[in-house]
Amino acid sequence: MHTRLFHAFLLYSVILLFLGLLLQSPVPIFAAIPLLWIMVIAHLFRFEPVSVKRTHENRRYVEGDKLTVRYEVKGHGYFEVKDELGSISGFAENSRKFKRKINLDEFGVIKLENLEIISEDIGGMQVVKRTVRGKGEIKIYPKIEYVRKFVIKPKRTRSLLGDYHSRRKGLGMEFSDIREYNPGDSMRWINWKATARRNKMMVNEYESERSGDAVILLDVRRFYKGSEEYGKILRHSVRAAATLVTYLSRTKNRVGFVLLGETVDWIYPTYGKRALYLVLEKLLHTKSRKLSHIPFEYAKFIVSRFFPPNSFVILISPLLSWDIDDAIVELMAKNYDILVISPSLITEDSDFATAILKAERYVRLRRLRLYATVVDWNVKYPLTKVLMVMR
Amino acid sequence: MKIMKNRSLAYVYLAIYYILSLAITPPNVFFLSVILISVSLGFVALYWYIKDELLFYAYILFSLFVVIVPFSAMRNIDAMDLAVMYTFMAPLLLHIIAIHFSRYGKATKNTYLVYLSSLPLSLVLAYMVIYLNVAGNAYVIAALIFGVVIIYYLLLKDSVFKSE
Repeated sequence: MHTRLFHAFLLYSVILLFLGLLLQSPVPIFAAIPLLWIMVIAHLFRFEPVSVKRTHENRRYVEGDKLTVRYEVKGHGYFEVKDELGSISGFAENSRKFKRKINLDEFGVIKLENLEIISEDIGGMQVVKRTVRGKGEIKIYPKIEYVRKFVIKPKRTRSLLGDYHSRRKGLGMEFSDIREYNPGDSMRWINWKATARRNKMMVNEYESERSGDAVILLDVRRFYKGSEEYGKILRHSVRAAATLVTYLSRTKNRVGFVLLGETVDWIYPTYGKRALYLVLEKLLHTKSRKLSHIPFEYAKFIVSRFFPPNSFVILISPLLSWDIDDAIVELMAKNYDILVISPSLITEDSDFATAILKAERYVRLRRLRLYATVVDWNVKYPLTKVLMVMR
Repeated sequence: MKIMKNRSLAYVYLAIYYILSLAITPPNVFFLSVILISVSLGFVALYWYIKDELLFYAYILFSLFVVIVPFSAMRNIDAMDLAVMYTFMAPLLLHIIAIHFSRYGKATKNTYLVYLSSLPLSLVLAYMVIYLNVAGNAYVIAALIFGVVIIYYLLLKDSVFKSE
């Protein structure tokens, strides 16, 4: 296929020829001759449309990682290769290798589907455009803040073993009390010093270590325009959710997830790595590009319908809708334990609008603190640092 | 940044081309040259903002007219005049190279060779036609060249696709 430049040169030549004939002057024809020479000479040079092989190291990355994509271009001529990661261009003589390093700053999925290859000859007269269908995707998981131990934990535990000390006595590591020996008690529990002192068999009692149910309720609904601010809130909220789900699943809790964004989505409570991977996979696709008209009622309904009472609900929300307050009260009435983590972008500016926003948010949080634990999170600081100082 | 640099250089070539063309324009057609340059500059401005490739081809066409006008106004053209005309066309070809190949980064030496070698070859051909009176007159030769090119074009049309 010939390029537009080739067609343009041909058209110029025809126009100049007719102009020469019309004006009975050889000059326009002379001016056309170089264009014709270019068309002819360009075809004499070797042109081999390029083929491209694209490779990358891993399929899974974490925000902040560097992705190295290698391209091997084979052919002879100018080329431009466009894909989801951008474009590379240059001139290939038989074979050429490119290495492109990309900073993965945002979580999400990059689908490497199409590879558009444009090859052009040395004179820009012939072009070959091809689209190669590729397979695979690169998953960029949200950055997880590592923390050894948080203050946050489910208040109510289940009968299964876990990492939290329960009020019940049972198997565990933490010493709780001494009581009289009952038939059936293990010999290992006998406290020999206490037995000698009291002259009757005494055994140690331990605090039972149990696990709980936790639900992460991520509210990333978008109510106004302003993609930059919403984008920031979304990124920080998703990172917070990823950090919390990692911690909660590591501490042997059953973790569920509810997402309130452009649509409503949820994951039933599950244990361990399964919960972690399910939630992280869901977080990868979290977007908030369109304005949302979903009321918070939906989230309340899902939590009360699919998650057992006594669950520890962690709501991550910038608290932009007013219906959240009533829903929290209703969930608490249904015996759910609630922690609200509210990311905020309000700056330290002293203008009037910021002052109003600050006052409104202050009143809001104060009202919520009457019945739930609320963490006012300025996203300038890492969430783990904020949660560490929480009591 | 590199592309911007190449493009800036391209417009320097174009400016040189206009200045050289105006410098040799006789007073009787000076106004016509100015009009043609103005029109092509109008298209350049539009191309700058709209970035439509068709506008690029439009201003190149008007730019070609700019070099034709002063030489057409001359009564007799000798080989020296032709050499001057082709020399003056060189910045225009360099401009085309710089703009067209900027998407690929930088044009190679062979590309410059293809474009710039066309000028001495054209001079040789024109000299043979006019002064050595090969094949009678220029119009016959021009028609022959066009015939060759059109046949060549028809033969090569989409041949690359067929080979794919």
